[in-house]
Formats: sequence, C-alpha cells, structure tokens
Amino acid sequence: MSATELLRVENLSKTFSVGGGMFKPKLRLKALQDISFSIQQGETLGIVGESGCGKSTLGRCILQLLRPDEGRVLWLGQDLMRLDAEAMRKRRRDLQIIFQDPQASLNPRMTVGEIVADPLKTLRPELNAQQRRQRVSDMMEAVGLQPEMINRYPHEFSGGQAQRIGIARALITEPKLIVCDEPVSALDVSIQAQILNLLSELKEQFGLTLVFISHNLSVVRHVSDRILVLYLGRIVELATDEQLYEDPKHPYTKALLTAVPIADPKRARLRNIDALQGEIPSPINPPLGCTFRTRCRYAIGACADVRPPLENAGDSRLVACIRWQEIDHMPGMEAAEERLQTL
Amino acid sequence: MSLLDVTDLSIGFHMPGRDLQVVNKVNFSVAAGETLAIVGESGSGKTQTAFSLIGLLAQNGFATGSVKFDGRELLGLKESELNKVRAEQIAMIFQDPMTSLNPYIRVGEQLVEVLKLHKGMNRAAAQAEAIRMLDAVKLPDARNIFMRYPHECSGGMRQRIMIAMALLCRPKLLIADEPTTALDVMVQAQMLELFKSLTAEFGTALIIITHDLGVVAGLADRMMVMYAGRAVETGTVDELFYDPRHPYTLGLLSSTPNLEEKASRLNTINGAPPNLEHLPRGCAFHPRCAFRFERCFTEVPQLLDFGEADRKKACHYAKPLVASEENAA
Repeated sequence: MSATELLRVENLSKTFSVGGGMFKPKLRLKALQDISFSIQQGETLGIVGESGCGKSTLGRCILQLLRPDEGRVLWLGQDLMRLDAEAMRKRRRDLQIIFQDPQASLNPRMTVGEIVADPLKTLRPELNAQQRRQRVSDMMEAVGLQPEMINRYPHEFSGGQAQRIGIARALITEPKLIVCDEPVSALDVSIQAQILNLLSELKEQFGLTLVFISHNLSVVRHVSDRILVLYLGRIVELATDEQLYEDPKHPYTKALLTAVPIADPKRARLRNIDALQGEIPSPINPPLGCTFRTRCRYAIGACADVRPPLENAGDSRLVACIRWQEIDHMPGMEAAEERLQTL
Repeated sequence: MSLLDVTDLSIGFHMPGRDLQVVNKVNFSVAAGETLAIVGESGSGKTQTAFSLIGLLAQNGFATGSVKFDGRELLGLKESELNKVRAEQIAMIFQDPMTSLNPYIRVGEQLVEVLKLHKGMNRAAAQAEAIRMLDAVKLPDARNIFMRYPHECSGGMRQRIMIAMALLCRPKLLIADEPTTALDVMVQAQMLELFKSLTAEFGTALIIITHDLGVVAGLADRMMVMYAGRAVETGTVDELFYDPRHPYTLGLLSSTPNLEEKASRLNTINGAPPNLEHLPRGCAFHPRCAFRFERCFTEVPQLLDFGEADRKKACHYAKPLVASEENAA
C-alpha cells in the first residue's frame, strides 16, 4: 500500500431487493459486483457509465450512505464498514458529497447561511456561532458567492449559484474527499463550464481528492486523472484519462466514446457512429459470462462461459475482456480512426 | 418558397398585474426537408418559440407576428383547425418520453387512434400502418411492442414510439424539443442516427431545439442561436461553428468541453443569463460580453445581414471574432 493512498475499495458488492408481493418473491438486483479500486491523495477519479450501471450507488457506498453487502471500504487503512455510528459521524468531516440537482438538495426553508453552516453543527460542535459565521462567509467567497447573500433563500438563486451553495456546504467541514455525483448535468453549458473550473480551482486550493461521477464523457475527461468505466455493476475498464480516451481497450469503452456527439460539424458528418444496438440488459437478470457480450460486436462463444477477470493491460490499466488484445489489433477500428486523424 | 416562414414572432405571458415578454421579434424560415437547430440556454425562449408555432402556449400566453406554413397563417387559427394542422402537417416530440404517452392505453392503441382520427383509416389498416411505423423507427419486434403498455418499455423505446407516433401522418415538419436530453449517450447516438435516416427517408423538415452543440453539429443544416428571447445569430451550421460572429455563439462553443482534448481550464461566459423581467439596457448580452463597447450599453442590436450570404447577427461589433488563420483551417 503506497503512502499516499487515501481510499481503497475491496471486492465491494451491493444488492437491492426489488418488487415482490404476496406469493411473489422479491427479486435481487445486483447493483454492484466485486468492485475494487483505490484513490490516491489529490487525485480525481472519474466514474462513467450509462444510467443503471451503478455509478451513483458506488458513490454512496464509498460514503457509507448505503451499506455495501460485501467487501471493504478502507479509509487510510481503516475499514469504514466496521465503524459504529458515532465513529462514522466523526469520519464524515473528511468525506462529503455534492449532488446532481442543486435546487432539490437545498432545504427551501433554510437561508443560505444556515444551509452552509449546518454540517458544522454536527461535525464541528466545538465552534461557536461567531466562528461558524466567519467560516460560512469565507467559504461563500471561496465558491464565488457574495457573503451578503447569506440571509437569502435557495429559491432566490439560479441553478449555477445553487450548485455553488452545495459546494460550499460540502467544503465547510474541510473534507479530504468529495464525491461529486453528476454535479453539472442539470446546468446550462455556460454555467457548467464555470462550475467545472471552480471545482478544479478549489481542488488545488484545498488539496482535495475528488470522485467525479458523470454520464458525460467529455466532462469526465476534462476533470479526471483516472477513469473507471462501469457496465451493469462491474468495472470493465480502469485507466488514466489519456489511456482511456486516446486508446480505449474494452469494446464497451470504445463504443461509448464513439457515441459521444462531437461539437464539430465536419468531423461529426464523417464519423462512423458505432452506436450499440439495444439497451442495457436488466441488472435483475444479467447475461451469464461477460455481461456486455449481448451487445458486443466482438463477442464469441467463450464470452458466455467465463466472467472476464479484470486484467492488467500494461501501465497499471485494467480491462475486463477476454479478447482485448485481439481486438486491439483488428483493422476497421484503425481505419476509421485514421480517417478522423486526416481531417 | 419556404415550408415555414416565421416573421416578427413575439411571445408573452399575462402575469398578475403585468405582461412578461419571453420572445422578441424572432424571424426564421425552414425549407422543405431541411433541419434547423434552435440553440440556447434555459430561459432563452427556444421552447416557447417552438410551442407557439402550433398553438401550444400556456393559457396565459400570447403570440404576435406571423407564422406561415405552406403559405397559410397559423397564428390565430381556431383550435379545431389547428388540430388538423398538428399531427397531419406538423408534429411535435417532447423532451420527456415518460410523460408524453398515456399510461392506461396500450402503445398500439395510441398509434391506431391517431390514424383513425386523422386519416380516417379502418382498424385493420391503421394497425398495419402503425406496426410498419414501429418498424421504421427500428424497434425490434414491433408486434410485441404494439401490445405493451408504456411502462413496459424503456426510455429509449418510448422515445422511438413517440417518433413513430409523430411520423404516422407523414407530417411535412417535425418539431423535436430536446429529444435526447433525457437519454443516455448510447441511446442518444441511436436516436440521432434515426432522426437523420428518417428525415431523409420521409423528406421531413425538422426543427430541433437543444442546448447541446454536439447534437447540432451532427444533425442540423442551419442553426439559430437565441439569447434572452431574441435570435442573436443565424446561418449554416458550418458557418456558425467555424466562424461565429456573435460573442454568445463563440462563448457557447468554447465552453463546451471537448472529448478529444483536455484543456486545463474551460473558457466560460462570465455571469448568468439575465432575468427576463429585468433585462439589461442595450444588448441583453453586454454584461457578459468581452467585446462590448459604448454602443452596446444603450442600443439594442437588430438581427441583420452582415454581407455574408444568408448569415445574420445581432451584434454591434463588426469584425470577425475568430482569428482569420483559424478560419482557413
């Protein structure tokens, strides 16, 4: 274990019980299966995938907002799942979250000052009212809100400003790690860019470590050092941003990247979109073997027999595909890429 | 002659004690078979503009100006006549495929009803046509889907069903309001391909309303950028993407994160879109604009030709915004 490792997740699984009724058994929805990864201090780890792949569940499991069924979540070597409620509450100072819908995640009956100060009451009870107020106003300034707005209510703010309030609330306890769950997807393009820039400034300023969950691959590339790609509750690829975007190995990652619309008309017209047919299978009854094989253009018989292990594909990147080496050298993909390069 | 000609379209809402204007003298046209993208952020008036074309404004809304479709004025048309135009001539697809279908009625029935009502088809013919259309939007096993209830279909399937329903009467114009915003990237890509092939196959003109410039780049022929209720720039997609002449268009383009390169900082547009009730004097964009000068504070710029075929902008700043060597590339 390296000295700077902040968080380590080992073999984490989470299952939800859904449906059921009289004479009808409950179904088991496997939201996350056998997830392992670690986060270094100061790093931003992006988590991407389509809806239902388990990315938000993973974020919540890290923070113990949801209790994983199996596995361990180690914070600086300490297993968070073994902590009692009181000890975990103390830990929460270090672990914060920013939510997707900035308006919905703010209590409409509290003023901005109260909202931002709220975590301090529980997590820093030793501070007096004067100190709390000072911190709130410092923090509001840090996220680009005028401290005079302290007595206003959430509805008086636009979406971008509301997200700034959410960020201030997360930062006020001086956390080490913040899980950002789709923090900009509800915002307009011009505001989205402001919030992304703000997050990277604050990361520098406060030495933060971020887990950045998003379905938007362009946004994730922009903020992340390493990226974890989830499909049906399993890791299919884990790589640095450059490895993943310049040279994706897993067929799912490849398909995901070609599906992202490019804001460049000439290139968009020439692009061969390799949109996967169909949609994600139900996590209640996922395919046997490789869960992606039902939509994979490279799938062969063997893909149904074994669950592909997460293999080391060099330079500490991990890929869960039994054919990644073959696929990597297949023509077709390269030709398409070359055509793009010449533009 | 264009299929759709919109002249001086203004839209407002009666509010208690006052009227709020949300769209101000917008002009545009759509030729047969053409795809126009209306681009803007929340509150820019893009959705209301589209709604007003087929009389879908809220009760307290009002529109003035002229909307000519196939030479016929649509504004002020009686509800019964508008109903004929809707679906038969102009169809609309809404953002949220979850709430646009009746949850109590099987998918097939909802499609058959449209054909019986608008085309006077008998049940058997309507059913055959409905299934043919479900096939056309590339739904696997159309007969099965025909018998399902909406909740038994996924989001992507429901959006396809909505598209099938919109195309049933072979409208000349399809209006799609943020049709892919609620969808995952993979389903979005499928949907954009579908729009492209369907507009080609049926010769349908398309107005797509979106804030996503990636969607515009891949799909549209021309675009209109709206800001605070006004059209600020119009032209072909290539012209606006490679040589934007309104600072807001430029700002939108440069604040869109790029999949293919990682910038250490995104360019942003400072500030936030204005409150429509308290628009700034002069150009509504001037408080956020890097190119502003004295004139922008007092005089509202009109959307005017600036000497390049069919391009218009509403900006006092005369010079190109992107350096000329970049244009050449």
